[in-house]
Amino acid sequence: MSSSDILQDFIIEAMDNLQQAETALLKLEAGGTNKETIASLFRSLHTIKGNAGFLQLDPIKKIAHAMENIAGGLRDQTLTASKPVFDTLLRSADVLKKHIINLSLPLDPAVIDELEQFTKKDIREKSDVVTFETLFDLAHFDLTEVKQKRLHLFAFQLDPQKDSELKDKITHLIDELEKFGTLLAVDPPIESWGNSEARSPVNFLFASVIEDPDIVRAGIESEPVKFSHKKPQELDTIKNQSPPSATVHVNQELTPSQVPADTTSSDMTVRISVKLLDNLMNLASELLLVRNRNIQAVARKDISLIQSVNNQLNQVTSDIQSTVLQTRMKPVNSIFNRYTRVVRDLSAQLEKHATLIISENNVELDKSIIDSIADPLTHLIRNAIDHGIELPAERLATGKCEYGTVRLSAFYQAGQVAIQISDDGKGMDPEKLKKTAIRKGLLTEDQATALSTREALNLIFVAGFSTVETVTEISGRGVGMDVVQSTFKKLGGIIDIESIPGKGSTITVKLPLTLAIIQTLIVSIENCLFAIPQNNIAEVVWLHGDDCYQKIKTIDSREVHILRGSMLPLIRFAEVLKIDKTYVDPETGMKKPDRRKQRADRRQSSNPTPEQLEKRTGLVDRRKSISNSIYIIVIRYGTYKFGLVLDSILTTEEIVIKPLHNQLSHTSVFSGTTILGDGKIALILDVTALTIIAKFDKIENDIVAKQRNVHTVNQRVLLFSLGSDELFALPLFLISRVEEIHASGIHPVGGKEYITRSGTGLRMIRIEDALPGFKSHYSQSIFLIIPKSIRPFGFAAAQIIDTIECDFDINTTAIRSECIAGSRVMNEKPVLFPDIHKIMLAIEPDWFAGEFINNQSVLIIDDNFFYASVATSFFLNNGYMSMCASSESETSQMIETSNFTFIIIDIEILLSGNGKLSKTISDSRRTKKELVIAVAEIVDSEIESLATERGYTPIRYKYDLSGLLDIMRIT
Amino acid sequence: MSESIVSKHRTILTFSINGTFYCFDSVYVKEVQHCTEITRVPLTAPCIRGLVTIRGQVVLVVDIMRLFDEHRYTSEDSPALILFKSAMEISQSTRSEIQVDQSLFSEKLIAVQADQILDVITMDDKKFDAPPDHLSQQALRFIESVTFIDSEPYCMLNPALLIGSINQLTNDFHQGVSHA
Repeated sequence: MSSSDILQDFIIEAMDNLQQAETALLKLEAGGTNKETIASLFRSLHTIKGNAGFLQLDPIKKIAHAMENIAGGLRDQTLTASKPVFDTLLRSADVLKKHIINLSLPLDPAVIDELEQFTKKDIREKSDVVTFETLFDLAHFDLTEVKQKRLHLFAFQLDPQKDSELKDKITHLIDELEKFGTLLAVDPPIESWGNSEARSPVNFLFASVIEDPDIVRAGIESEPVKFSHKKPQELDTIKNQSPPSATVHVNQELTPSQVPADTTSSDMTVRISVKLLDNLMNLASELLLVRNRNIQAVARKDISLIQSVNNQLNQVTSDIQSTVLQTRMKPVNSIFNRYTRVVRDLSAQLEKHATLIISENNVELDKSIIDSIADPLTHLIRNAIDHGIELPAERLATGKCEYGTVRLSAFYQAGQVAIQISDDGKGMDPEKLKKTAIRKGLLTEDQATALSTREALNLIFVAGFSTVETVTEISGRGVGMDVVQSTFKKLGGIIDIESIPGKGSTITVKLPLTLAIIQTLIVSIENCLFAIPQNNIAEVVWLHGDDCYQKIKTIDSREVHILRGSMLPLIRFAEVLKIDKTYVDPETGMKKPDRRKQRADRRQSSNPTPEQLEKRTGLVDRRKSISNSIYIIVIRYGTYKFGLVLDSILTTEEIVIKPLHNQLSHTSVFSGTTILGDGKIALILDVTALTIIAKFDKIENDIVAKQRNVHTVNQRVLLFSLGSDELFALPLFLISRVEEIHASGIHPVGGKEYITRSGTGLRMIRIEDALPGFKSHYSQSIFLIIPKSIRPFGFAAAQIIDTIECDFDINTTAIRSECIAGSRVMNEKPVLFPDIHKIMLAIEPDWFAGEFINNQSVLIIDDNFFYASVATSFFLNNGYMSMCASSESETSQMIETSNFTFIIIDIEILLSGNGKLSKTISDSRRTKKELVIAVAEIVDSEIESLATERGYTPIRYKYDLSGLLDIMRIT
Repeated sequence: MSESIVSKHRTILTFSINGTFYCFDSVYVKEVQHCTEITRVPLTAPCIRGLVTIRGQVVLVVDIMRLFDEHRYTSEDSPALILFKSAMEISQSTRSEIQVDQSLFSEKLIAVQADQILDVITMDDKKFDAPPDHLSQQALRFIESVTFIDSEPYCMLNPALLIGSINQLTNDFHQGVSHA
């Protein structure tokens, strides 16, 4: 063992002992003087001191020694346990820790002075220092070795009459002494200790490399009545023997500089119980037996024997696997205990009264997880005290006990470990959190109102978020909680908050038991294997035969699957990874690139030739074949789900994660590699990164931020199609009329198509021209949907399907395209709402190039984003500069920066809220003289009377956009 | 190994790619392996061939021809792999005489794909000349020296520069992707 190894071991052991000492100290402080605890404190400090002395680590030895003296005082009750004593001891423990971590740190004498103020006396003052000869005649002993090794010789006497427990602890005493040296003699010998002799004094002769006489007192945990010490040089004079030939410096190699100062060696080692190691050893020998049997079985070519060996091998391997995993497990207690100190110090610092109650339920976690969660947990506990627990006066005023409680508990739950930090403090107010988020510009007001309580509480995990007005040393800088969350997420965990204002908060963290081995689904594309962690997978959908075509819809060249009534966005796995798919040509046997990447590519033509028809109706319809199948792996990503489309799934497998090469770590889609059972390599998929590559992350944010439950009155919409699968809809209030025309009636002029109506040309617009990726198929008869507009144009539709009633809760984010205002699912099918103005702008930009008619402008304020954009589009199309706002802040900003002729506002928004918006508008009305038109979904007497009170009459029907237009025109 | 350095001799491993002869100082070479099935890694720089397993370890296979010129490449069927040692192995085998950057020669092994492994030869240091100036700048970055064996030129490649360049390329590739 090299010297640096010895030092490493020392550091590990010393840290453990220090942790035990600290735990004991905190226990003593909380619960008075318990003999067992004091003994444990003493032992820990003593071991540190002894080992440090052995390694000539003077600063550590001296501090530990001074601390030990106090512990001794406590034990002997010569020193009263008081707060200053514990404060000093704990502070010194911190200093000691620094010294252990950085062995070359010079000693600050103030630390020792501080400790020594409690104990000025040492052993020599307490015991009678006698001459050596009164206890032992050294002439009877062979001291050659002692002299050679330059050991110190100690002789001392213990009196059983003064220490009644001496007899009981004699074995322990001898053990302790032997740790630091050699016990040369005990007089009378222990074996002869009968009842009669138990009362007479006992003499000990002890040799050690340590020169500090206190070693003896500490080692025996008892006060010697008589004591004598001989230094090596004094021994030389006892008998005139030749001086030792060589001085053995056992410690000469051990210099602190050999150990790096920042060593964190305790993180690099694991303590394993011998029982577990024995178990592993047994399994290893069992494995050998299986191998031998295997050799025989293979030699004999005995299939049944091979099979049985194989079963045995399975058994042994899984046993080894689980045992090895157990060696990585560490009790959560190992980190929980340190928090008692955190809570103690912090509550003292903040002048709060808080106690920590720990219940760890023997929970164990993978060492790597334990090491990573220590800091985030500290952060959460500090937060609980700093932000959660109130000052004692405040607590008493609210009828709570003066002492706050922070509970830290760990327990197993559904194959995971849950760690809970709860406090009985003031809790968190979701409304206050929302306001802070708005003030800090993290959310708009509308987004904030849309948040649920849980979402609002989760705001504390947003970077830069802190509700505390004053930044303290402890917390409030708004950094940290986001790091806490990301740390837990990285470990595959989830974090959740519950809080009741005035009652307290509970933060629950759920973590996997281990990181080393995970359950995955193995999939393949073009001979590339990928492992998808199963905790990311919600379900797997298998589509086969015709369903592959029918159940996947294409919208704006993006695919969706309607899964139980909701739209599931799809990503083609091969496409995201840019893997070119191939197929084997049945005729040539050659691999050729497969051009059918999307559903649209697979679609059969609508006008099949007789040959195609025959093929389809024949016995073997390829499209309906069971072998024609795809899998959609529904991936759970936060609150959002998406589908990963794959051709084949191989198996599920428990895999061992191997880290990626640095050169591949930039490829954020993969989090590691693994070697599968057949020796092949599979890449482990990082689902979060996949969403970024597929540009899904933005969608999720928008959905969280924007999707709101707006209560709306049902509206009738016109459903139509362009002859392909996509369904479109336009609200009826936007449509003037629908006409059926014959294809021959279309006149192309300069590349544009016109229809003549009452002597004028009506421009026919094909929506698909503005929507690349959308296909159309018109027959001879075409429908023309003519919107309410000052310009003569109509949209071509191949088929008018229906007019149906639906609410206006239109999703404006699920399908993103410039010319699509929103979408929603109707009868299990996605329906798109085109944005008339944007389509016209794309096809006829010239129409909007000039000045707006009358130079008038209108602002539409509505919290239904879809309505606001549809109305804006309508007024733009009718020659008004038009803008919309859907939140209070947005409105204020727009009114401030622009001048509007008209403001159209939903009366409910005007009446709700804190009246700020109402004030902004009436202020603006006074100075800028806008005409404010209040609108409502339902115009009834109640609304009217309310509006009259505020001076907004008459109320108009919201969806009567033409009516609104008329009012504007008249004005 | 260290004796050869002291006596100004070098042991080199010679190999060929696309008919050109190259060599590495054997100090850097851990072993030579027959190339098994390479697992492709999507979304990586073209110089990354993929991954193979060798005795339970995952090894990254690179195509060094791509480093010389983006249009040149080693054939995908090239049967030989030359594995580099890790920094610790290099330091151990040379008794700490050669210290290399740990970030380049990490514990995760890297292998170069080659058409043919030729020989292991010990040569006098004096027989290595500076490469001719008219080589492309790109190639000159990696070619340390040139030696002649049986009147054929062999280019001595510097593994540290090769790996450094791979790191740079993969980094650039990724940034290009993320900007796109």
